[in-house]
Amino acid sequence: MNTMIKLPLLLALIFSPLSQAELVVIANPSAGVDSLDQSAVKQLFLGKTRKLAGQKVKLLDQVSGSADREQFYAQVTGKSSAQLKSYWSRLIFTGKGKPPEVVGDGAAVKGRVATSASAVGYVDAAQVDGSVKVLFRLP
Amino acid sequence: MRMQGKRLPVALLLGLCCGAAQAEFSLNGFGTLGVAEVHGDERRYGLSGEYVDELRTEPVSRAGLQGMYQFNDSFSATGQLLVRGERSRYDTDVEWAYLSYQASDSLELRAGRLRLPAFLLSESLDVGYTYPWIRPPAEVYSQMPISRYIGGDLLYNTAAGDYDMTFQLMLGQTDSDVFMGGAKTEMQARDMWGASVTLQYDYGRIRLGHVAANIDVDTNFQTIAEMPPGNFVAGNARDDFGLVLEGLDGSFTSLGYSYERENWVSYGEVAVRKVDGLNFPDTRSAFLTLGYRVDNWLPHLTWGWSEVTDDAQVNGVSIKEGEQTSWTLGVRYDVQPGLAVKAEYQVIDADGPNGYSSLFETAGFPRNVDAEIVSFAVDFVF
Repeated sequence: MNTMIKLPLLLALIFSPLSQAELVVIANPSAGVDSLDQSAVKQLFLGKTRKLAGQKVKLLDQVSGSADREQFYAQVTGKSSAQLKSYWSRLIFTGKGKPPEVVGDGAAVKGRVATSASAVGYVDAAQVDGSVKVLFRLP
Repeated sequence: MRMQGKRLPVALLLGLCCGAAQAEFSLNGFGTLGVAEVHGDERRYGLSGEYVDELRTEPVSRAGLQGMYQFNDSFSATGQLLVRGERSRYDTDVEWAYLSYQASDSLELRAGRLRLPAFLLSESLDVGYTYPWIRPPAEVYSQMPISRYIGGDLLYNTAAGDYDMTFQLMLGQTDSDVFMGGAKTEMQARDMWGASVTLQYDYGRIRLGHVAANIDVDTNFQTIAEMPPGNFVAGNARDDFGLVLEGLDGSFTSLGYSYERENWVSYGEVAVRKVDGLNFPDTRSAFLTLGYRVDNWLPHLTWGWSEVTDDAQVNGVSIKEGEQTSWTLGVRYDVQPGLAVKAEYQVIDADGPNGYSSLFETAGFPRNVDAEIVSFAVDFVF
């Protein structure tokens, strides 16, 4: 249990850019849930669950190579970009799932979440305003 | 407040539009481009004899394009076109073509042309990017020459926290052209059924699978003299002695795992093949891989082994207890997400009491065949 908690932290430290952003998972204010724990966020972003409170979720991703993206996945899933690509390739080519849709930078993610009832994404906490609701703050 | 008041109807409208018509098409591709050659006591190696004693692309190269059309939340159609190297040529085929119905959160039904769920890695066998090696260990992965079937399956998924359990049940049949002793052979499998259970957790998965079928084989040869050496033939007249075989019961069982935690990567699988009669050997096979990731480098070592367990015959001579063992030292380098380069060096040692029972193509009855394989490849997905 201890190592399970320590691993993402350790990876986050190793992979952290010079200035580590505080990231949050956001949803539309009309979403049926108000908060998620890290395990639920991980299940969502690894495609293991597709629904929240009985509603199908549309997951949004930031562009490949962005600092927020690297940090988000390292902290939440403990996986590097290459490992994630391999993970999703296996699911895609066995017809078992599709990765979150890449919509652009944090601002683009926030924009989509604000206008789409089923959208869930992650952004820098500094980008959050009243148009979205925070479901989870990364430690 | 006024802003939010405006946004709410917009959100509702978008929600309605996209809920009603979620039709969506996605296209993905994968490929492995590489070269390999075999050196040693024999000049041809592999299920179709695709490895030869000069650098060739056929043994390790393939490319696929997969399209998926999502009609709505429940229905989707998936197709995959695959170009794959075999003995001295390339072959293009539709590898997947199926309709999927997501009956509930945990139950999915599929029908059409599907991959045969024989191995741990069956469904992503051709996507080199998803595993460490250039090709999965041949001692295990050449035991089942049929890769797909026509029929349907049922997938039931149940999750408990970080654990995920998937049950699969399949029914179907297939007409395949498979290589036996270096020649294409028509193989029909009827009354095919299979079942598997996969336990997935954060660091990997464990899978147990079983498939069984009734097999007919027509070698397309009229006389023994036409057959290339090393084919599984018991006698010398077309119908009675193995050029045409009918109604053989066959089964394949495999137990495998994959594991990845921190820097360690490991894969392993054991398999048992059983086929009626002496024309196809019953076999036991296994492999074990251990790798250690250092940044973008993944050096790995693999042990592979297969053994004949019945009195199967090659050209009328028993090959019981014939075995093949190999060691492979490889490295994978992840250039960027979606692109990896790999290099491998393999030494193979095949032994048999009479003749051979390995993946080498031999003309006589050598007791021992030693060889080495060098391969390089680039894997990509998009």
